[in-house]
Amino acid sequence: MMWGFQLELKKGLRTKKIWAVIVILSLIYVPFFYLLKRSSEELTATSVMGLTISFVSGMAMFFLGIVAIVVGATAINGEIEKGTLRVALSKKITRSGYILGKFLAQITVFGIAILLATLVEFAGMLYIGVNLTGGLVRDLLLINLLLLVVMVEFVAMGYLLSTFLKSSGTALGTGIAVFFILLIFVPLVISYQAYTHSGNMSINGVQNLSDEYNTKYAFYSPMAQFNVITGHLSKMNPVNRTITDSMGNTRTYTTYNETYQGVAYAIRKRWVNTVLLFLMTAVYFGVAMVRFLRMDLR
Amino acid sequence: MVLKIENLVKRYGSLTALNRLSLEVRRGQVYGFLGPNGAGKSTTILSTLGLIYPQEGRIELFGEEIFRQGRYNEGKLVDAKGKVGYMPEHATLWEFLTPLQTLDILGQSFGIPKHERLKRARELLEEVNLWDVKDRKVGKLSKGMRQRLLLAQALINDPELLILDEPMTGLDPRGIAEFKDIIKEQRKNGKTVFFSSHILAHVEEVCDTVGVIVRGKLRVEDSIDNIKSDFLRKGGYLILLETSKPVNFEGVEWKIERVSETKYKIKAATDIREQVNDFVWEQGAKILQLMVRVPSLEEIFLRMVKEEEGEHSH
Repeated sequence: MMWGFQLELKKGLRTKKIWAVIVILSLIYVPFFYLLKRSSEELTATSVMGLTISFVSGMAMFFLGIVAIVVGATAINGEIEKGTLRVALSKKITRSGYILGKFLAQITVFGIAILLATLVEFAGMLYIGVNLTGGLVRDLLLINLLLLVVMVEFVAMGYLLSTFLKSSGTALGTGIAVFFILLIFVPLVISYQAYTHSGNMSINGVQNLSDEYNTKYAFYSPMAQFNVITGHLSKMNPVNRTITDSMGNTRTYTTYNETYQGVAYAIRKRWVNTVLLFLMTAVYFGVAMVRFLRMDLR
Repeated sequence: MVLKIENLVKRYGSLTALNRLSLEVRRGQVYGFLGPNGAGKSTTILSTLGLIYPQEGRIELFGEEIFRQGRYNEGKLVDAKGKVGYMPEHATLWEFLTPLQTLDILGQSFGIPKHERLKRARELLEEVNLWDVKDRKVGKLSKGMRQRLLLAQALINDPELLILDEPMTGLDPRGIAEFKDIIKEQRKNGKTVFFSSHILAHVEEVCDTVGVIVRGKLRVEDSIDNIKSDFLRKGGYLILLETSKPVNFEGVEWKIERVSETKYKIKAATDIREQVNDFVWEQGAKILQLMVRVPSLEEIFLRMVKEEEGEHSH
């Protein structure tokens, strides 16, 4: 396993595409933090944190997500096409050791990439003058760790494509199509379903219904699970307000106070979705591995 | 016995790539594995290395049963691979590595200590004339250089059995000569070499045993000399005879063609020299010309393929 790990790690660290994406990602963060600094006088540290998390996770999800699924989708079939897999597996190593080592190395590369992105985020936070308390540091680390888990699920999904589709070109195209279906189509359908079945529910009720649908019908989508979890970074507290109009009529209505709760709270609250992220990664990679162990490498 | 394959069957959908193939490679042999494209050469090699799954049959490597009836014995296979070197056909190596790094990392998979790996890598790179480009990325090497590096990586573990799949493809004449020297060196050191090729002249020069596979079946497995003499017996004789007597040879297959009033051209399907000699003594005939045609391995190979295809179409 260690051999496959070392080889793939070397490859990952020397692949320019991944680093190009990291640079692009970091460059996108710069204007975000700049704009945030300009308006930071009206923002509290926790709201800056909330905005940062939603922005950086969205950006990283998009850029790294595509890279993750593409890397996974060409991991095995690409090596078969080049012939490198035949060379590697003619040596004194097992198939299971090779695929596990390769997968772990790719996780490590994504881990390093996300760690670098996290450092840029910290730098950005310091730039806009946020006092980095222990809680904020923990939240930023946790959200990036969660992002890594999402990336790992995308890589595993890619492996599944890579072991079932012989052509790396076809797998690449399919991977990108799957990514955009999960990014656009699935959330649209889920939101529509939640909206049509929500009736006169409160905001919290609609969110709960949407979470339930995402858990039930989009359990296979890392993005959907991530969005469910990050949807609970803040708590919406209902506040009943009463107003009296000029005619002297009194009306009561409900508004919501958003209180930032943090990433740990969101993960705890939506533990099912967190478990689903790990579980589906294991399922995707497990099926890919079983297939790889029995496939003809020609 | 280094490699023993028994009744191997591999089907890709409706196509039968290996049809109860059996062959044996003994220690110290240089075995040439010949066959037209799609005959099943690469499938046989990949099966030996556990890279594809045949449906039936049995494979032994170094006396250990590594495959039986659709299942590999992973432990025995991995152990056996420790003593095998493999050079694939149509393969590239990792383009981001240099030749030295390639040999280093591949040597690592065999658990060879670092200083030994680097020493071995240097020896091999010098042997295949790549030492000068040891630090150049594989992606920037020429096709011939990559091919030589593929050969070098196959030798990194000083293998007992060297398996080469179409190894001379892409080599220039100098590379081919160097390659042949390496094969001869391996033979001299008592190593076993099993290689497939369609360049029959190369096989003829370096191999002592040849197996011919056509449509997934081994047609012939013998020494080159035996195969040649076998084909020689089947029709390599042409005799121009001068006689006024009726010509007749018994017990052998032959064809006669009258060239002039007293001259006959005789083509024999088998060795006819003894019968002709008797006829000359008894009838007072005169041999004007006797040609023994030694067929090249290429002709023999093509004839076998033709025969097999003829049988198949019937």
